Amino acid sequence: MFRPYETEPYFDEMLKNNEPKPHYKSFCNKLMEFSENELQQKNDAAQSNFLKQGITFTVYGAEGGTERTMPFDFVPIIITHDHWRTIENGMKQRVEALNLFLHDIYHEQQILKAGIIPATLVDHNPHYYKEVIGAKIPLDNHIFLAGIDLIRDDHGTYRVLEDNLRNPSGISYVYKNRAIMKQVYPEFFSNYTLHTFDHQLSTMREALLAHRPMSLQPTQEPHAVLLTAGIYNSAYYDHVFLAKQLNISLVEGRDLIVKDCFVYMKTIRGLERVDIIYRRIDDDFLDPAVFREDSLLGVPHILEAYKAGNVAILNAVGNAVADDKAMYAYVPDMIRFYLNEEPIIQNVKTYMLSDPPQRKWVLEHIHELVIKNVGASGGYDMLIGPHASEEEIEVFRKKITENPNQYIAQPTIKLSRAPVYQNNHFYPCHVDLRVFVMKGNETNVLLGGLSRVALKEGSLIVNSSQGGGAKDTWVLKEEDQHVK
Amino acid sequence: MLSRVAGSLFWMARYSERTAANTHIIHTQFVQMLEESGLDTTYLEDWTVILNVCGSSKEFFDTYDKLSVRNLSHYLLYSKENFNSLIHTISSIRENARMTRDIIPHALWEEWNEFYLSLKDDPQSPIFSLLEINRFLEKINHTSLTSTGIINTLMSRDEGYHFLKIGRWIERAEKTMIILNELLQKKEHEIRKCTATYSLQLTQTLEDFSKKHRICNTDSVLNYLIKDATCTHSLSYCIQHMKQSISVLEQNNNNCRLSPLLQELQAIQQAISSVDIATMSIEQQKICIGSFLTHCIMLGSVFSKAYYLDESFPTYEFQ
Repeated sequence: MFRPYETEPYFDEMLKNNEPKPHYKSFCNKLMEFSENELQQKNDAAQSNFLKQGITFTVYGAEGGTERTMPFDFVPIIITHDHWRTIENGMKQRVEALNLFLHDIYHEQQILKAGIIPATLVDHNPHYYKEVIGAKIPLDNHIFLAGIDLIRDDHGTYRVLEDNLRNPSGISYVYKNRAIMKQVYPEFFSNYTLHTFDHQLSTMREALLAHRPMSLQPTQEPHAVLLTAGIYNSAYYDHVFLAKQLNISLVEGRDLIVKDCFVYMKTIRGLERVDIIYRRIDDDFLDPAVFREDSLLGVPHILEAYKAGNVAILNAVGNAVADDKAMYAYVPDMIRFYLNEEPIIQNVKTYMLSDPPQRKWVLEHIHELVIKNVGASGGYDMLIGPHASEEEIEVFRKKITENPNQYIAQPTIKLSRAPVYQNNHFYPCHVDLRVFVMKGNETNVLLGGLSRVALKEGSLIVNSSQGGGAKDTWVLKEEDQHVK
Repeated sequence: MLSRVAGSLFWMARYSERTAANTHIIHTQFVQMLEESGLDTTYLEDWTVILNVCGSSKEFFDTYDKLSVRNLSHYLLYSKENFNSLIHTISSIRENARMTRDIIPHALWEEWNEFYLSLKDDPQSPIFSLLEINRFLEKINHTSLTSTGIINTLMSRDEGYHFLKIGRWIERAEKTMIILNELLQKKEHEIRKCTATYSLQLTQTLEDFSKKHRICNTDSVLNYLIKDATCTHSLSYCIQHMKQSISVLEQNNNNCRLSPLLQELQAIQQAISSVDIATMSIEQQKICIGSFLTHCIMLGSVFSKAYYLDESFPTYEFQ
């Protein structure tokens, strides 16, 4: 059964001074009414539901089959109304600035000319594609869907940990986590009034269809598709879910063909023109005639059609230059430069190892810091100083010295924790929150987002490929409802 | 609809029908086997027919040293080398269902996914006791019937539904002809003795036939399985329903792309109506069934070309 635990030195989402916080009280009262047996049964029902429905992700190279479910934990992350407003405003501001930045560096490059961001960081970035410099894209919008990862520090302050502007995945889990929660744990919802996200996918569809390519006649309805890498892609379930919800065809590269600078899909009745492609494959694989020629996932000459304004590709080509871990450090400066505002949600302090004084300091304090490869994701090529062995630290010292531009350092944040129930007992685990931002004619934030949890006790890595799980995220509709 | 997706639906239906038919055939034969001595020559002949209907007897005898329950059940149920083993066809259904998850009802995907996972998780598989094999076959039969019910109940009658249906009719027509073709390869006195009832048992039509006919001999059964437009496993029924589905798909448009397909269907229907089994010798019947079987095999390929289901056929036209 659930018993309050020692929360110090971390910020805990649910507890304060061994007591549930006001907005968790009703949940905790309900929790106490369940027997161990009941909780176990419910937990088993929830996990098997994910498997039965095939809500899985693929782990490459995993032994004994490649499909796994993301473990689900039923204790939700509850966000109060005021906190959510701050997050929402902060995310809109951040995505707005990132979009202006992307547009700027592929056109006038004012931010580089003003010396706000070192030009080398853009010019030498392997994801800065000269092939799309000057390309005119619908709505001048590079970011149709962003996934911004937030954490809370030991004071409970939200901070941005990472921006994902390429192919952020996980929206399907937001919906499925809520559906399973309603199906298996309906009792916990009593006394809460939550923001529902039932209608938000229609907002996403509107945003998608707003990206009309320039050559499309005003009277014509755009024809949109979702481009997937196929059933073996780790996020295939996400692709199926979105295609179904957005009511668009789920296509693979081999289903598309470019003829005379237009993109067509191969149907049972011949070729049908495609106007908008929400692609879920990376830039490198998009067009074998321009990028990786060994790509079997992409469509030859699709970039020509894109640059001619005959097809919209979402997210835009070349976004990765703005979401690597080195550029991340400059996002607050982008907000100040483009919007003339102060960032509403702050970054985690980041040290640039290309700068000799900062590098020297980092190498001296490496035991206290987190080191990250600027181009890696998913928790790979990363050192968590306080948890690392001397050998691991030496490996990273060498990597930094040999290739300082490739790494950044951050202080070890005391990530907030929340209780989880796994293997018949409760224990606290570190959590983060991926917030999804959709941008078409307007910018909207998906209410709630995906709460990810590092299920291994003490672990800081929440990524599903490395043993992370997910929780439902509740956004309260009224600030004072929990007082009642 | 995307050609690739239509192709997946078509093949999903064909594998579903193949799974259901092979499950029934294997079950029928295992039950029949209980009354037969392993020394009886008909035992060997019957199993050769079953192996050719559900796989290949040559492949079986090349791989295994003797006819035993263990070897037969391994080849027909679990073999990864036999592309028509039940494990293989079930896995193909699930793979095609996974490719078309955005089209098919969620419940249909769940039904096959859950069944597939239950097979993967079963620590005892493969199983070789007759009792366990029987349970396994019943489970497959139950899943097949449930999935057919889901399609009929939940799917809107749009393109996806008709591709599933056409896949089923083609597979079924072909299977009926394969069964008849194999049974007619037996010695003449054996054909006269048991082909009629056995072919009805294998095609799941014994009950229906018995209601409609008093005399059960080779001629009446062949006639029934070719011409009876109300028997759901007859060639006539499958071709007629396939034609109906194509006409819904095309809404009676005259599309020249479909000419070879429509001509093929027309040719089969004409052959069905002109055939007179009663006046034929056994040799002529063999030739007639062989010709229908060739037409059925052709039909799958002509249909795939008409709707661009075959990816190696890239001469796309603009819509």
